[in-house]
Parts: sequence; structure tokens; C-alpha cells
Amino acid sequence: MSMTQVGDEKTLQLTRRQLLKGIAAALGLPVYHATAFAESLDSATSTAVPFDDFVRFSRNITGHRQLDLQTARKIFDIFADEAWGMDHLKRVHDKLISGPHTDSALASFDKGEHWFLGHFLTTWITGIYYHSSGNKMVSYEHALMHEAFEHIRPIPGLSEQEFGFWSKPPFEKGM
Amino acid sequence: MVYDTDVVVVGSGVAGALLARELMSAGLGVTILEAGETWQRGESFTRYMQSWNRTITAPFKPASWAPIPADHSYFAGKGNKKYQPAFLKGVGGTTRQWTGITPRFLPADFELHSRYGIGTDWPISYDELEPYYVRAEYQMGVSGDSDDHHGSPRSKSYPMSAIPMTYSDQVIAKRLASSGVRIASFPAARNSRAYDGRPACRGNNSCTPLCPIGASYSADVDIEKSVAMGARLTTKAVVYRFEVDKQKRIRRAFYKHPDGSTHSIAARHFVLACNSIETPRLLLMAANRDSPNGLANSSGQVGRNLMDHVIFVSKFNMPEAMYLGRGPQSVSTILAGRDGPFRSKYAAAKFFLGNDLNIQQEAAGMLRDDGNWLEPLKQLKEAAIHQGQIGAEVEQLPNAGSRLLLDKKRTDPLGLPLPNINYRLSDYTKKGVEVWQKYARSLIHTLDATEIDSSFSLSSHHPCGTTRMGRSAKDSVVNEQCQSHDHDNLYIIGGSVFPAMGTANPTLTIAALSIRLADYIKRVEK
Repeated sequence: MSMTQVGDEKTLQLTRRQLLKGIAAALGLPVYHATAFAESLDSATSTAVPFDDFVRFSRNITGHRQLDLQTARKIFDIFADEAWGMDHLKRVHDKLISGPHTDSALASFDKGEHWFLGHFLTTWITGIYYHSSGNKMVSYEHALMHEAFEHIRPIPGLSEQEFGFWSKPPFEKGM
Repeated sequence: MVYDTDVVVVGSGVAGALLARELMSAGLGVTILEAGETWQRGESFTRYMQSWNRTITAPFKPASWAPIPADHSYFAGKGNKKYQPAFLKGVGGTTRQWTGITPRFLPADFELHSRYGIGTDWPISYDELEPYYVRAEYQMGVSGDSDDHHGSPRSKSYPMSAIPMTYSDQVIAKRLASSGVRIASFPAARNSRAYDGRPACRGNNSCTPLCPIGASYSADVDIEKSVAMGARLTTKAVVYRFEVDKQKRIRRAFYKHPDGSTHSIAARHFVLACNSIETPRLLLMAANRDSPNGLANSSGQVGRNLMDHVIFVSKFNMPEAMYLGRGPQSVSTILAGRDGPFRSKYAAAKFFLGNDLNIQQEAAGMLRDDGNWLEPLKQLKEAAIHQGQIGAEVEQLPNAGSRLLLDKKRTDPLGLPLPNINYRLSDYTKKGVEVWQKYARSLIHTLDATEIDSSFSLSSHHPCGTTRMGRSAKDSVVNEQCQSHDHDNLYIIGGSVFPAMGTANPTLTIAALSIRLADYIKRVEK
């Protein structure tokens, strides 16, 4: 979602409905191929989501084109293991891409689907799968949160910087 | 009698490690008994990266046979249940996961009662300990500003120049300068250049729980050196009792391995260096017919006078970008609060500027609000880069009622009684916390910043006082040399011997006392 600038700096002051409209706009990007997904479902179980579609879905939701595939596989496997995992993924995904009126699709999110979207984002961004079934580490260095600080600080524990670099501010193009 | 070794050292943290190295250098035979096991730095870091719960103990494989406070079953007590000091059991002890800050005590910290009519004096002075501070700083490798002693006069310069202040520290320093508030870099056991075979700091910002490259000192370094000189290190050895002869000399230490098997070792001298919780626990466990209240406990003070620094941290948003999280987790101090006539009324505090940006926590918290789902990374960055942190550790007074006992029912996997802690916060400290939190808020106001969060904990993980030093056997456990009043070949080293704790992080003072004790044992052995 971060790849699309929705509105301007006043985004945070918009209503929740308007914010979700923005999410829908991001998800409407042409990368996703609804037809292919529908076809893959025909030959899958009612809740199966092929890995390639999971990756495409992840890219659309997070707005990141370059997702680490090993991390994607780990998240995919975790969701596949949860009895509700792929079902929620499919439901959320189907509702978001259904028809031309995505805002009405979003308005139809039930509590669980709304929760799932946040859960999905949190997993990718923090690299940790937080759930009462048992929290799981997905990825330390490929957690998307590090990208927010890519030009500001090294990933903790993985610095290759010279001694004392911290005494100057980052240039935000290199540290 | 035939001895297996000259000196048995129980515990391989900073106290035991420095002592062992000194004694080995003098040609004495040393056996170190460590309850935990050896951790390899690389494996520890991998473990940390693979842990979803990145606590301060996350990198270190737990010793299931020797629980630590991170194990929920470890503590119980009638007193304040929120008191939970953390420590490790393994080679190198808690210096494997510390922040590395090494200020000295102030001279007044040794004379709290004489100067301010409160608390207890140490039986030794700052001047007596000063040469040992120097030796500890050189052995561990401490970086500091030799032209600014922060109230603790020095006879020699630091072995390495100071760690440079972070950019965020400099922003705060500039904004507070006109108010007369001075910020300075802390002394720290962190390399500002390659030293002792270890590299200079690369600003990994993961000091606690782990320096991945060893730029920050950890006591396993001195354990390795001791072993290289011929010391014996026995890990997974949980000491639980001693054999004492009719002359009250300790003859043997008995220990268990994880499989429950028992072993013993005979030595001329025994040094307990197990930290301020485990040392008194061991002494109480080692009660016998002649010492029914615990070994070395004729004074009744073993386990009593438990102190720790209360810590609070205020987070705030600055009008300008601060870029926290670059460099070590804390580099600078605010030079205020550590001493003054106010100490007759309320506790002193040591302030620090925090640089510990936990973006995982920040991100997880932020994503609970669906208003942040739209551009989460942009919002995470904007919130984080304006953050500043000011915190303080506040002194606690000794209190005989604040104590550790053995639990009557709960035992560890080896069948040894677990501790039962009754911790009491003094009114003196509570007043100090109130005063210094108000001061911190005034600084935040001067910075033109907005406070966003404040946290408080009863423990900075600096427990001390539980086998305190004193001149009289009636009210202390060890004498000025850290020698037991009751058993002349038993010594105790660590924060447990502190009669008063001041505001400084205890590690450097523990290190200095350890080297001083080594000198004493060398003299005895001559």
C-alpha cells in the first residue's frame, strides 16, 4: 500500500471509510490477475491458495514488489497450518477484488476479515507472527519494518558501519 | 590435607572471571565452577534473530537444571511481586547481555551516612578503591573522557578515548546548554578502537541483549584467558553445600551436575561470585548443624538489605528529527542528580539518554490501529525518527526487611530450594523517584518536546547488598577484604557485598573489588 500515495499529508485526518477506500485503490493495481487466481481455485480445494498467488497477494497488500521469497514461503506455510488461515486470506482477497465497487466490498468486511488484514500486515512488517496459537519468528532481517530505516540505521546486530558513524545524522541516502 | 586446587571460584561472571585471571597470573591454581554452560557468540546471535520474543535472555540457551528469573517459576515472595531482576547463568554471566556502562562510584557514595546522616557507610573509601578502578578499566577495556571525571577523581587516564555522543545526544545537549544542563559521554566497557583482540564498536544497537562482535566487554573473555593460563572450568556445576572443619575452615565444595550426580572439590580458598541473588541463596542452602541459619551467617545478614536501582524512562517527541537507534543503546549522561545535600532527604539518581529504538515493538503497536495500515512504513519512520528518551536510575537504601529467603516448598529441577524474595521500596527512594521524574519532565519541556510514554521498573537488574561488607561481624557478612567474618578462607565478591549502592551501574565497582580481593588472596598465599 505504501507504493501508492493516497491523498496528501492530511490522509490521517480522513475518515476510516475514506482510508479503506485508499487501500482499495492500492489493491486495484493491475499486477494482480483475477482470472488466473479464479482458474487456480478451480483445481484446488475450496480454501487452497497457490503459493504464487499468495506472493502476488502479499505484494499488493504490502505495496512491495521485492518480497523475500523465503520469507513469503514461511508466512504461507504458517497461514496454511492455521485452520482458518487460507480461508480468511481467500475471503479477504476475494472481497477486495470483487466487482468494480471495491468500497462496497470493503464495507462488507466482517470483524474477522478486518482483523485478518491487520494481522497479515503485522506479520510482514514486523517479521513476527503474533497469534494466541503461538507467536512465531518469521524473519529477522527481511521484516519490512527495516525498510523504513534503510537509509537511517543498520539493522540491529548487522551493522557494517565504521566506528562513530552515529555521531552524525544520516543523509537518508547512505548512513 | 590434599587439595584439588588452590582456589575454587563459584561463578564465572565479571567478579569470578577477573579474580580467576588475576590469581592465575600470580601462579595460583584456580578451578571455576559455573552453574550454566558455555555460549558461543555467533550461535547466541543466531538464536536471538530466530526468537520472536527478543528479551534480554533470548540469545542464551537456558540451563534447564539451573533456572533464572526469566523462568516464571523462579521468584515468589510476599513483598513486591513486580521486583524481578534479570541475570544469566552461563560462562561470562550477565555481562553477556549488559549495556556496558561503567561509571565509578562517587566518593560520597562510600560515605552516605557520614555526609548525609542516612544509609550506611562503606568500610573502605573511594581513595582506597581508586587504584583498583584503574586496573579494572584497563583489564576490561573502558572508553572514557580522561579530562572529565564526572566527580570521580582519577589517577590515570582511560585506556581508550570516549565513545562519541550520538547525533540525538548532541541535539539534546545543544538545546539544554543554555539552561546550564551538561551532557557528557559515559565511560563504557566498549571499544572505541581495537583493544585486547576485540574490535571497535560498529554501532549495532543490540548491546542488550548481545554485542554480536565482542566490542563490548563480557567476562567470558577473562574466563578464556584464565583457562589459557591453566585454570580449570567446570560448567553445569551447581554448588549447593560445603564441608566445614572444626576450625570453621571450608574444606570442600559440593556440586551437582544436571543428571543429579554429586561431586566435590577440595581447596584452600573458596570465593563465591554468584550474584546478589544466587550467592545468598547458596549460603542459606549450605546451612549445617553448626550454622543453622546458613553458612557465614552469624550476623543474620545473609540475604538481607537487598537493594536495586529503580529505573524510569520517558519517551518524547522532539520537533526535529533525532534518529535514535544509531550506535550503542546508551552513550550519554546528564550530569545532574548523583550527589548533593538533598541526599539527606531523598535518593540520588543517575540520568542517561536512551538510544534504544525497538522498531518491532513500535511497529506492532502502531499496526493495532487500522488508521496506520495505509502507509505503515512511512508512519513508522515519522514517529520513530522524532523520538527521544531520557531515563534515570535511582538509588535505594539498605533495609533489613528487604530480603531473600529460601522457599519452603518450591525447588529447582535439582531439588534445591528456590528463592523467596520480599522486596521493599523505601520512602527515601520513592521521594527521589518523584523528584527526578519531575526534573525529567522539566527537561522535556525545555526541549520543546512532548512526552509520549513513561515506563517504570523496580529493577535495573542491579541487585546488591545481600552479603554486605562491614567492620563488625554483628551486622555484616564480610570484612573490608570481602572475607567472611565467620570462615577465614571463604570470600564473597560481587554486588552482594555493597553496603550502599550509590547511583553508578555496579559492574565496574564489582570488577575493582574483585581485583582487590585477588591481591589480598595473593598476599595470604605468600
